[in-house]
Amino acid sequence: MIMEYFILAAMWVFGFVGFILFIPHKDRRKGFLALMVFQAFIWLCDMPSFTFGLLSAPVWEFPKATDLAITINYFFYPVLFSIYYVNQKPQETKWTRFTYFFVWISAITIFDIIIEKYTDLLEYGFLTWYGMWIYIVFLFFVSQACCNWFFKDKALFQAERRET
Amino acid sequence: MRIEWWLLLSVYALSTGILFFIPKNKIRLAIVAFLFKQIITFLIGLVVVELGLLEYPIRLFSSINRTSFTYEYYAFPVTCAIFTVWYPHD
Repeated sequence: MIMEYFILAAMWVFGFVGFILFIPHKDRRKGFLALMVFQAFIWLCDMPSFTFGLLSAPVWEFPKATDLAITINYFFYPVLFSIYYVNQKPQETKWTRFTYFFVWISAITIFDIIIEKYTDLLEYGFLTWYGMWIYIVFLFFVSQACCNWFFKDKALFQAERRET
Repeated sequence: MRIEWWLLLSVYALSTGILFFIPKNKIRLAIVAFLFKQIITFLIGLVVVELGLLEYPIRLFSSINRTSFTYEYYAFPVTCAIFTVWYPHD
């Protein structure tokens, strides 16, 4: 039990540090928007999947209020997505971008599986490891599409870039 | 169906209806307001329920979540988005 709370605290600390270190100052707003978009999607998708027993989270931050994994959903994965989104290079070739996407997705899935296996923070129900992989691919893909749409009109976001 | 479920349904219909009154050139402003509100209200909503200040006896996803998904995820952020979009600057 102590171990799980330690990991949760570490997630918050590493999330904050990662957000500050790996997102350049001029892209801070872009990163924050990516975080919020991913956060909105992961809630929407996790509600039904927790309800129907695809996965569950035995250790809760708010035991009375919710059974969802708050730290992971609300903070840690969104931060990872925003680091991913800000640091990708759209001008690269298709294969480089695909590899970048693939490596990120696989790393997060492995992290998720380790958490599931060795701690009580997550527990898979019907979900298998490739199910989780597909789930994360879906979340990343949808969020990325939305962020790309949001930042589509480059002229709108030029002013801020010039100032910083 | 109990009246509460009809109310929830009408909240969804009303909020979605409001979305159509957002002018097209302000759609990005509305999205940012929506997401900001959502990130705040979700956490505060959980804290409020956790401390026992508030209860939602009838709610969506009731087996796993004791807060009101409808209100915190959709209705309140939509209200905030429309408020921000229509706010009379100057």
